[in-house]
Amino acid sequence: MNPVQRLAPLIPLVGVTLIGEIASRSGWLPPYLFPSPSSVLSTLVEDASMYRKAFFETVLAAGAGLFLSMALGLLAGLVLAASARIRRMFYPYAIFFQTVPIIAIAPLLVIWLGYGMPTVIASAFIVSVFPVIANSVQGLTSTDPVSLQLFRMLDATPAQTLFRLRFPAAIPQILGGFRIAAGLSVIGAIVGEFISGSGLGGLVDASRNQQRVDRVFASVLLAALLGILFFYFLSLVHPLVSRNEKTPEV
Amino acid sequence: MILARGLGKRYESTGGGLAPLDLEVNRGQWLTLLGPSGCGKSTFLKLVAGLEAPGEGSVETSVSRAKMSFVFQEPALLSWSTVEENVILPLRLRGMDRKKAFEKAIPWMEKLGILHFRTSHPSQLSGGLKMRVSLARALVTDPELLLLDEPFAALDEPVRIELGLELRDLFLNMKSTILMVTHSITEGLWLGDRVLVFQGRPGKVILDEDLGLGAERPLSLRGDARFLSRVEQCFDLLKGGPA
Repeated sequence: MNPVQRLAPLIPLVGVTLIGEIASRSGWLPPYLFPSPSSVLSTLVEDASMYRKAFFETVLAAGAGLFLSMALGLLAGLVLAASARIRRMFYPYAIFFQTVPIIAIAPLLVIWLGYGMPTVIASAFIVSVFPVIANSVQGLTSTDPVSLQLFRMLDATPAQTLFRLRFPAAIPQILGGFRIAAGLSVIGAIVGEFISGSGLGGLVDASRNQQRVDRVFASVLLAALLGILFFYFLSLVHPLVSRNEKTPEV
Repeated sequence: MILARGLGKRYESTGGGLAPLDLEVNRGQWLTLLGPSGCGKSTFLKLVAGLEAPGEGSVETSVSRAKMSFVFQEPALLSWSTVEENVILPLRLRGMDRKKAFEKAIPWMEKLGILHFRTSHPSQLSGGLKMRVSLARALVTDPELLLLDEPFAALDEPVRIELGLELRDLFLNMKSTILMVTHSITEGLWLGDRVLVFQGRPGKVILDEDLGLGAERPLSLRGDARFLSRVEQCFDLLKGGPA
């Protein structure tokens, strides 16, 4: 990719920002509905310390929720992949995590865990754990049957088969689950913060109550940025663990 | 070496499998198994290996599992491991330390022409090289019984011939026993000492014969009149059977 191609995604952004700015200044868009991009930028600069604090609160909560999802989701995936009987018994409950309306149970979390970080972490975890479980199970149970026969032929123990064959073969799918979970953990954290009142989610809620649409926009912008950062961070890890399959033939 | 008594296995879903079979295989023999798909050749190999349980009868081998190697049609290499790590896998699973295992693997990698690629990953290799890695992995344990299930099926003709010549050479030096399933009559007869032809569903052995072609198998043998008449005999037996 040459530099021009690399910068291509920025063109729509600059275009929309410019149009937004012109529309706002000329009075086509009322500022109480759509703040001008420059006013969003200025609140980000003026109240930088407030946004920084909220941003890092959300980073911490979403990061902790994501870490729990990766660790416990993978563990659950390993247990579920161990036998078809266990899968039949417990998989429907794993699906619960995907279908649970987090916005509806977030108040419950507050009742159980109080207004604070634990509620936000739990919310981030609940929303993001399912893709980790589903991808881990899928990856661990779709091992190449010929390779499995080879390991049987070599009298490999179940542990050897798991750690030398099934787990490494499943890594690309497990990491795929982690990447999906990364984006979802930010969403879960924001929803948790709506209720518990901290971080970027709390800021969005408070700004809405104060009719500060510019602050709502600024907070949403930072939350989106955080989601992208999480996603790309895990995309960076991917090539380090699973080697490129498409290298040219010797 | 191998003694099968009434050994059979049927697959109800496909109607294929192996009809009860009595067979004795002596040490140091290269046995070729020919026949159409679904006639129980691969099943027989898996029964001998203990990868499948017999439906009826029994099979005994004088070789322990540790002294058997199975080469599948697909190389079944671990894509995340290097060539040398793939080759030493059987030794590592048995607890041999890495350094010792490498020392043991080097002569095999040299013989099979893959030493140069030892640090490459399977995705970087051609089909022929991958099969060489698979063969090296099977040979590194000094097997007394080598079970080959269409090992050259996915390869080009020149590569098949080249690998066949090398494997026959290794076979003569190792004094092991080989059971090879193949769809190629020419290849099977060229490399084997004894041929079994299977036919039907479930498969029955319709020909069991020592080929008497001698130990050395130069490529020129494939043009020999006696050899060609054997090929014709097998072709006639297989012709008209279920595809």
